Amino acid sequence: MGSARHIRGWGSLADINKKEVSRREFFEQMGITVGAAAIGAAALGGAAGLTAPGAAEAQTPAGKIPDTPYKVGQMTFFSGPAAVLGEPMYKGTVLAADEINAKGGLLGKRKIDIIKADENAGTDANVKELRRLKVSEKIDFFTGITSSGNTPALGPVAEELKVLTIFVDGCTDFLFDKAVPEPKYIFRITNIQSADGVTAALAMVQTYPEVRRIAHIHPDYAYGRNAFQHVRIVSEKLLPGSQVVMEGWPKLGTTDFAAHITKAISAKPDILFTSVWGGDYIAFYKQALGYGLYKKMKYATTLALGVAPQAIGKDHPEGVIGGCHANYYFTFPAGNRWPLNNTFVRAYYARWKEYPNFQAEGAYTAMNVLRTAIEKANKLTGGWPEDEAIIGQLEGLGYSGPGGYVYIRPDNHQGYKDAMTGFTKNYPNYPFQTMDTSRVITIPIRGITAPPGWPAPKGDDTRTSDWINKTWPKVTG
Amino acid sequence: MRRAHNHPTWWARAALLVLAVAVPAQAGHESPFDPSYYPHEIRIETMTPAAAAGPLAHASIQAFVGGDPYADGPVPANVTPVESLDAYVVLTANPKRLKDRDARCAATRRVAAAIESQMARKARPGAFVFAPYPVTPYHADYLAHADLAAAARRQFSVPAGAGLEGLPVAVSGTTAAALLGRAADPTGGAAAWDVRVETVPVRDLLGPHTTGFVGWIGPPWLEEGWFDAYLLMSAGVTDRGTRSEVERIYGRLTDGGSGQSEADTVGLQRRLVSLLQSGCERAVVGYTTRREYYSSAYSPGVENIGFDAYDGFDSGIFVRTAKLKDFPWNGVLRLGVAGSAAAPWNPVAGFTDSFGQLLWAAVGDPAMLPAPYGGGWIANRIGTWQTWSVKFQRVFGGVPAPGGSRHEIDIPADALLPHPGTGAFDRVGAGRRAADMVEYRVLASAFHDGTTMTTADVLYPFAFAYRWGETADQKARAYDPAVGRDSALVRRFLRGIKVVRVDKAVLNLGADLQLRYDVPIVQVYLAYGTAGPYTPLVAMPWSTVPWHVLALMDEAARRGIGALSSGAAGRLGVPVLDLVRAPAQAAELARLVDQFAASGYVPEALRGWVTAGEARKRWRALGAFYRDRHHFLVTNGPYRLQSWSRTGAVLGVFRDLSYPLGVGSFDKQVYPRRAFIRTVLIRGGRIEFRPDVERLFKYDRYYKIVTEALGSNTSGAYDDVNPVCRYIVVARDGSVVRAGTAPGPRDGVYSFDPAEGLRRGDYTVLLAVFLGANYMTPDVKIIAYHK
Repeated sequence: MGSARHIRGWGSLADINKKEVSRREFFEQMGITVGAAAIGAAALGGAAGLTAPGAAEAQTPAGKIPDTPYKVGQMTFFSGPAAVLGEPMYKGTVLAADEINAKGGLLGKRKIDIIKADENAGTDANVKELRRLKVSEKIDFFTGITSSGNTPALGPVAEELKVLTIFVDGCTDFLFDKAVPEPKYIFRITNIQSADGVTAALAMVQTYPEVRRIAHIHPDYAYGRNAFQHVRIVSEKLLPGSQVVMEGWPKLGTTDFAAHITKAISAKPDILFTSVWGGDYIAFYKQALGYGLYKKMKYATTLALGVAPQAIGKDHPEGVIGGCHANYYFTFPAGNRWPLNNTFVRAYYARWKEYPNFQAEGAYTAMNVLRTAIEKANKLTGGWPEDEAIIGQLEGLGYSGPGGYVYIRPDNHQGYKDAMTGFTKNYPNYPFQTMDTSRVITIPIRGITAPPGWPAPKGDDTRTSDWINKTWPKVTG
Repeated sequence: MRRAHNHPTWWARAALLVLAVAVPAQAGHESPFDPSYYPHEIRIETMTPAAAAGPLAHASIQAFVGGDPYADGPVPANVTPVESLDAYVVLTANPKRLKDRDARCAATRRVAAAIESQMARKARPGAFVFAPYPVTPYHADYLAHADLAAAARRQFSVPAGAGLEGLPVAVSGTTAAALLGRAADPTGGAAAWDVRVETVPVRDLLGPHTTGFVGWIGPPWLEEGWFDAYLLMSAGVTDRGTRSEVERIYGRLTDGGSGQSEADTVGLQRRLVSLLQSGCERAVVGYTTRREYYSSAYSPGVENIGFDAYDGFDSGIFVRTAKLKDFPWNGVLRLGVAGSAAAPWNPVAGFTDSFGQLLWAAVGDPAMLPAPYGGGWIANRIGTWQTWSVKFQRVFGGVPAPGGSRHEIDIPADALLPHPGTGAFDRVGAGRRAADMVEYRVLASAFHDGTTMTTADVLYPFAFAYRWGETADQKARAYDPAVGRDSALVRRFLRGIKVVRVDKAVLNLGADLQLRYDVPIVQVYLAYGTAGPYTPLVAMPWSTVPWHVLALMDEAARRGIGALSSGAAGRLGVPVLDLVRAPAQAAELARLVDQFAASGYVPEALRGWVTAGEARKRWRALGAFYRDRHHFLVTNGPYRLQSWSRTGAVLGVFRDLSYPLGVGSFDKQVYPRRAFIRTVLIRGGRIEFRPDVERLFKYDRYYKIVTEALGSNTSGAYDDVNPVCRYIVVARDGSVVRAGTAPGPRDGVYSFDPAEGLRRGDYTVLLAVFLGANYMTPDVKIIAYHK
């Protein structure tokens, strides 16, 4: 275990507006932490009243609580490529529901009844299914969703149907930037997509400040372009004189990455950055191994560790930046520093015989955030709280989850927690590659996301990108 | 009765909801869709079972197809079997020596008893199952025969008396010999025998009746037990009256006129099988199972395994489900296959051996796939359909037609029908009527040479079938018996085809992931059909081969470069066309392609459907494909032939975005699960029970099957159970009075009155619960029921 190097948190937006700072100064002010022990200093100001799992459990609920089941509609991928993400999400929801039900249910009375739906039906069919869940199944709460293609379609419908919703993922900035800019019923737990690229880029800048020649290989659709956009804006700010020396855009369905790999090698970059994911990523890295790519350049990813822990093999290069969607990796925070994670991982493994991924943690946290809000609302209103009362408690809620502190911003209903990434490493205790527990990078989320009130930019830009572009200094040195 | 599954898949649903949501490009995320299936490469190599044992144990091959490498030894750890129906063990009474029915029955019964006795002592579990009835638990219609199969089995529960002393028995093949504990009889065909014992591989039995022609399917009843019984026994029936009745019932079952109700149809099937057995000319004494293995090792093995009840791993479902453990998708799947790769690689009448079948399962793409566990057929490239008579029934409250009369439908005058012998499309003209019409949504996609599938590709196989499959002179050069056989059902049923329109469908995955598809809407008019489950399956408008490759084969056969099938090749003295492995043919085909490219050749049947310019593009694309890949095996299937040798082939995945199905499309077909009925209560005329069900628990890169009471959710699994309780009610006289599906369970308990509305009396109720369309090896309860 390496020792943690904990740096002060970011001061204020005014500091960011300084036009010239050194990179070292920038990182110090931002509060990036590298090491084994960090738990970020939460998100934004409203997290003062942090709640931990089960904090209110011992208290008797106020008023009369019905014993009718609390129906939860859970939609995620149970088939297709994204099932590797979706099934852990469902497992996280079930684990939380089981724990709550074991204590009598929500407010000790209402057992959670989960109705699952396959997100792989396609966006249009998913919209219909949400309507069916509300109208026919009469769900009380909707959760899940993996794909960012789906949250912008489902969010407005959830608002229209007035169904209380916490999306676990579907992390596109677009949801709250533009599709539902003034949400009432919908919330989201996992970090926004822009955090993915920004986090990985900051890890690159901090770890390899000398790199200037950057190659990119990203999937040729919106996700890849989002990653590219955010890595590029960070690079432009923090790596003066850096340049994109190569772009590779493998199309959806590409299985032979040789052309992109050889092109990247020919470009002689200092570092290669990629957001290729899942089975495509496995094919990519194995082919890159064959070309000796990792001996010729540094390497950073947004998602090498961002699928499921067991999804990546031990032949993957060690010591490279292995992103986990800027969200959660099951070995961090370490159990001796953050027992909540230890408890969660043990319970998850006991239930499901595998280790949780970020979707599992997000889903588990979403259910507990809901539980917490219901308990808080009950204290205020007595009896079973109306959705409006629950929403009131969700807004601004701070919650201590397995992955750290989560704060639900009241203005946009987005969950914020400190972003994280790390370095790949093989440990004998695991039959797959994991994250180096001594070199985890955490970044206070407030340092990489646009603050409340930041106007939505025109065009395809994200708030985050626009905010970074307009407020981050260009560092010197 | 088995049904074709016409469940709208996610894709079909998407296709019906076109352009409903538009999301700006910013909303990006990892794509949740990848066209085609898990492995990005499949390597197939022939090897003997013995040679496969080591590589499979070390996972250098991940599955062995068509044989058991561990038949004579221990099975290594991390190697997992699947079992499918392999062969019937059949007894044949010598018609020249045993002309009397009683003598035949006595002789075959003695031999069956001897086999049972021998196997009781020495049987290797799983290899042979003593089951003296031709419909086996691997057939979807086994439930309808379960009482008869049990009765047949009971006959052997008492000692059979004398052994085989004095009874001349010929044994054919080592398996049959082993069943009697003797050496194979090299003179198995000699005249001095009363009973011959032989194994009849299911593949050999069905092979001549299986349609491989350009991705057509059929016949729809191909894998039903009654059909197998007919194929095994009908030719031997000696009694003229019985034979006539057999053919009459068979005709009704296969002409869509089997009955007005499912009970009628089931009754006919039972009657047919009983008649076939009645003369004891031939008797099924049991069956053997095929045991194939895959590597389940962590991490080089495979998971997510689907297989076929008849064909095991040598099936479309296997290559569409098998997933490398090391990859969420992608990866190289390495397969060993028993036998040689000898059959020609040609999409009209080739791929007839095990190697070819496996290769074609991946490279070709049929209209529908056989439901892997005996449940009929499942949608593949025909997305959905509507049958006119079914819609008509709904109008009249669910009966086929008022008063039992048939209501025909007008065929549009501009519908087409190929001209026999030439294949040229004729307009049907005014005033023609059909018994039924089916409207299909065809899931088109690009071909491997980059050309786009059009309605011409859907139509041309019909022309080809009538050109090569129908003639007054079966010795004519322009006749191919294989095409004739494969298209016989279509030609018997078809009365007209009409391309209605081509829809544009969008699979909206959000953001810029908007996948667009062409969906031809095609109506097919049929001569027979009374809303039976077979109606949509007899003449499906589909081709997995582009018209220009078929036209090339047509011309090559016409010019004598090669024959379409081995049957024609033998007759004409020319080699069979092989689009890959015949260099001399390839050179001639290449010259033809260049000529056609220059002239813009359009086959006569497609004039008006394809312009010379369009044809020129097709021929140029094919020529370029050949120059690049050195073969002409172009399809629109999920895998593309990359390279080959005398003993193997390498297939690359075809992840073209126009391909409408994707990774995981058939995940519901993996790991078949069963239900068990432990106890049944009959209370107030209602049958009540709570089945135990198997659940699939997936974790890490493993899975396990766990059992729990239905609805209890105690196992921790979260797979979809989808139980279906089917029942058959048989009256004392053996007639089937009801066939139905029980109402869904409440809190895991089924409760229903199987004889509601029936008259008082004694009945036998056959009952089983099926999970997820697994009809294989059901736990059938046979219940004496008094109303």
